[in-house]
Amino acid sequence: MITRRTFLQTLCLSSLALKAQALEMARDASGRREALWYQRVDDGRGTVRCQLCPRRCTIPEGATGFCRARQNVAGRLCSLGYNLPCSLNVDPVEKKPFFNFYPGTRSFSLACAGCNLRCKFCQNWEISQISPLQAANRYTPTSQLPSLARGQGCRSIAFTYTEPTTYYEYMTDSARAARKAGLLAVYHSNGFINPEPLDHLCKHLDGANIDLKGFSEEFYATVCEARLAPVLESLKRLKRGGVWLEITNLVIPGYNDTPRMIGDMCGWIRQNLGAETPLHFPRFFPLYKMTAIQPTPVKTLEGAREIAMGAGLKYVYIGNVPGHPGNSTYCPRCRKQVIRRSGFSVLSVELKGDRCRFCNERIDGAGLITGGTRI
Amino acid sequence: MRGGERHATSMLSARAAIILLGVACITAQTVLLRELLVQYHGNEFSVGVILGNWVAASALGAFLAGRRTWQGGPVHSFIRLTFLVSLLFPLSIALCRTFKPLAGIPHGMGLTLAQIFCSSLLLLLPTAALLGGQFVVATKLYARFSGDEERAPGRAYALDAAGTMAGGLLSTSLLVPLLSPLQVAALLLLLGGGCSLALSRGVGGETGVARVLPSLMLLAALMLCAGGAGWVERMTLALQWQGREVLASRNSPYQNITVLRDEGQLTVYTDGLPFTTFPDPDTASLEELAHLPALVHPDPRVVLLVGGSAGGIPPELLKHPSIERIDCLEIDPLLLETVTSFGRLTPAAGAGDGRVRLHLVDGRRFLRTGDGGYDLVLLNSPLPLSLQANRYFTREFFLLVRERLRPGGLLAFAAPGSTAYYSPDLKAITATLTATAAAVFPSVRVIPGESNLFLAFPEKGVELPGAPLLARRLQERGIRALLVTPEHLSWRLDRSQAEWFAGSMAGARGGPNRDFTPRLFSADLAQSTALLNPWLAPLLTAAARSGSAGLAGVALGVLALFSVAGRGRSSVAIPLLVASSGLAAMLLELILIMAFQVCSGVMFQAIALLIALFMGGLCCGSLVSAGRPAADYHRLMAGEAGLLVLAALLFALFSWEQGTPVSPLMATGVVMPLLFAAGFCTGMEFPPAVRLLQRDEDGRVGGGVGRVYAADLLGGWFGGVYGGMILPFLGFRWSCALLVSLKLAGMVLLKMQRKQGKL
Repeated sequence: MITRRTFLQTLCLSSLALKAQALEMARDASGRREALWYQRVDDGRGTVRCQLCPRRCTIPEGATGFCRARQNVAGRLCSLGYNLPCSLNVDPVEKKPFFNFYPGTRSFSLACAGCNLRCKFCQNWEISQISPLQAANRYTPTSQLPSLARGQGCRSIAFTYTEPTTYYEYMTDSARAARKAGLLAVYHSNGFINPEPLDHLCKHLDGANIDLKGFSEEFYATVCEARLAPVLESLKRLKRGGVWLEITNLVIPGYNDTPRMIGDMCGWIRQNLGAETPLHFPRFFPLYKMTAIQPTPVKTLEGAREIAMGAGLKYVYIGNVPGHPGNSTYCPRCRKQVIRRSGFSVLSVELKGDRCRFCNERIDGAGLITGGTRI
Repeated sequence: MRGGERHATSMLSARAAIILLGVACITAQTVLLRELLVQYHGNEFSVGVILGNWVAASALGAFLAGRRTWQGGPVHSFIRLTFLVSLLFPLSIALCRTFKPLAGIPHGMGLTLAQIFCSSLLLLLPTAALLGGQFVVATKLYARFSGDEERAPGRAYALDAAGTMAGGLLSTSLLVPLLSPLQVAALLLLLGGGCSLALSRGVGGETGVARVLPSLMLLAALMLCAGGAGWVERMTLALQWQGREVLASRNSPYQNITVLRDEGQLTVYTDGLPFTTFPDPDTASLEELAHLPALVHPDPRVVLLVGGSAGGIPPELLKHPSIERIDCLEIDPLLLETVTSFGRLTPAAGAGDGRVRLHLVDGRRFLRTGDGGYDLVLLNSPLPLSLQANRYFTREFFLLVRERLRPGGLLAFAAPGSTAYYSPDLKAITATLTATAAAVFPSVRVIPGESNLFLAFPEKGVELPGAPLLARRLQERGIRALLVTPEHLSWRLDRSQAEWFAGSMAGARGGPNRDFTPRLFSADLAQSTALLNPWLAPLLTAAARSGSAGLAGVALGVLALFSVAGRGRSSVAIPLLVASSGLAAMLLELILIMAFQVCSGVMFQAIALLIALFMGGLCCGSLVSAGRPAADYHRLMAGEAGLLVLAALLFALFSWEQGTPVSPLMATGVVMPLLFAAGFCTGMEFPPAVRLLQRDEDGRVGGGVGRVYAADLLGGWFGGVYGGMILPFLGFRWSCALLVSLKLAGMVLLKMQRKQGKL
């Protein structure tokens, strides 16, 4: 039987614990977690310089950086989206897109508002071009994510839709929690990040899909308000860091679709990242500020695929054209279809372990399927 | 030629010149408006801004011309201005097409409102200002030949209005459909040149410009007949589309249609935006809209497809063996003809399939007049950025659909969705669509995704079949589709997606979209505005939310301003009154034209007639009050009272709306007479306003006309900008209430001026 004294003690301790938890929650729910990767500027006015991405924004007190997601609060740089994703949903992993990575599995996808680029063809402009302070967010601490993902039958957690770099701290903590729970952590990013933060991030990621939006500095400058060189550096570092890497190059008519640009890009990928790096060429449809550009001709995509394969890349895909043969994975040796897809749906698998069922060639990737069993 | 005969000929030439000026004005305005609309991608906002900037530039021209002392008399000045307009109008057309590359704007990009405002002002300024100035010179011309300075402004205004009326009819029914814009410019040059030469001979001497005119006319004739215009047309189009291969560019009464080719892929553009592409279409949207509703129905036999039949839906539908007939409704024959001429299989070509029937008719008219029921009604229209499109998403339209659905039938339409995030704008759109469908159909279900598919059933408690049943039907019907596979169905109807959608939409509220309360149109417009002008959207939303309170504030402000002006000089009060009438006239004209569109759906076909009715009223009104200067105050008062009554009548009409479909007869029986009446009341005010101003200033004819004309056009400019930007958000009803308060203030102003003996 509980004594009066014990009862009061328990009550006090519980209240204190609840209070501490409430304070922690309030702090988390404010989204203002102190950011990593910044330094104070010695100007006596509390200015800081963000070191996360190549913009290296100098941020006066009260202001946010270019990405709108990192704010200088009383001389401390804070990540505004911490624990506050504005988007939580379940997608096929193929939608990220990952085609050589645990095909046919589901990915618990999340995003916090903000982006450090200004692409005029952004698909998710409604959340990428605003601050977490403006978005309708859902308080989701990192500890909750694994159970949410598992509850939906997901194999991985994906940081996607907006630019995950802008919520770096939430991403790394969530990735750590995911791995601890036996889930995979993947991200879809523009790759516009500084080398040091990326090297640190690589330790927590299993897969990365990087948008290589075009292969010229001019394209990046005029269409994305960014630079190409840091993205190329990121790709090399991800590869070196042992993260499974796939690349997406959205082909926009009249902007990044010349055979020469595509050829140069494929040559660079082959040389620096290896022939096994999957490359996706999705079809462009009018979007955001680029509303008057026609959808990419399928012949252009097919031409790009031929160029890529001619450059020696083993896995080249055509996206946003459901039912096109370029949706599927082919054995690089015997050229037979080993994973048949239409859109994001996996229709059949012709693999034995991670090898081609017809010629026994090893298919590059992670978590490939054999007879319905994941390896 | 004797003196009397010469005078008669000159008078005739002067009249012809002023009528032609009206024709040139409306034609140039129409041509440049259409050219700019293509550049601005048919943005509804831009129409108001373009019209507003046109009248502002005309006002500036009229104002400057009124202040200027013209060298060499009105005849030679008129000829010089004709010469300048003839040169600058075609140049403006070319600049409209090429300003984007010249300004370094990459191809395919939408423009911000600021860019639209500045570019349209700069591009319209030369032509509109010269035409505005020419009107002032024309009144002097008329005064010189008629010898009646007092009545000249009214007569010239009436002739100009008659020309505008004729030009409106001519340009919409003949010039725009039959000739290219540059050919229209050449034709105007020929007519204007001929008139100028006649005028020049009438005063017995040719100036330097008149001597050059014949050569210029010869050039215009070559442009018109010998293919010169075609060459320039191709050159400017190539610049406009920035090097892409242009296969065709045509103007229908509804829109500009352009076909581009890239790597064998043809894309058809309507008003500068991609409409359809082939031979490789947007498979995902086609297959989902065709197959998902057809699979939900256990035995679809008769289908109605409203819009977009050129996009490839009928061949997908025909894969369902039970389908016996597909009625396809299209409103623009030229669009279908263009798509067909480039080898796309349309219902017209029908791939030889007799089950597909094409009807070139408005969807509402078809549903109202036709008979027979449907198992499926597919609404294949993009979300409305115009009232024309809004007509297919209203409660009234859904009522018509429900009446034609067979037992077990369903209505299906797609709208943008998201698998990532529902912004407030997207939530508003989705909630409005749901509320509109739910206002008519007892069961409304949404299959959420990147594109939300809405399915509405006339029976209560209908639930969507699960993915396994749909997959079985897919298999049983032997359908081979590229996207819609059993795996895709399983994903599309996954419980997690439905739950996420429900969670994202929690708390979203929206009222039904109706004909005269176009909530969907406003929400869609707000979203497209936020896309390019993030700063503007909150302002417009706030304007929409302010409703009656905001309106009362504005009305009180107007009343206070007019009361102060009423105590001041007539030289300020009269132009203010005229400006308010210009605003009211433009806004009433826009509201009535939009109301016509809502009722009938054939506004583009009838636009010439509508403008003609308004201009006819304007002309009759100004003729009626051209004489009897003693009654000027009463005429002005009558004009103000007339506009007030009209606005009040429309307010009552829009408030009375009960949700039942409006009869098309209302378009001809109510809207058309009201358009004439609006023009009549406005026209009544012009001659007395000029005379009262002249009496006050004891000034010259041109000066008074210039100020009144400029004030009228300035008000019109504001009305145009309001009509394009604020009207869609504030709505028809409250805008009419605003007009009532404006005209009430105008009457107070007149009364005060009278009381002080200034009138």
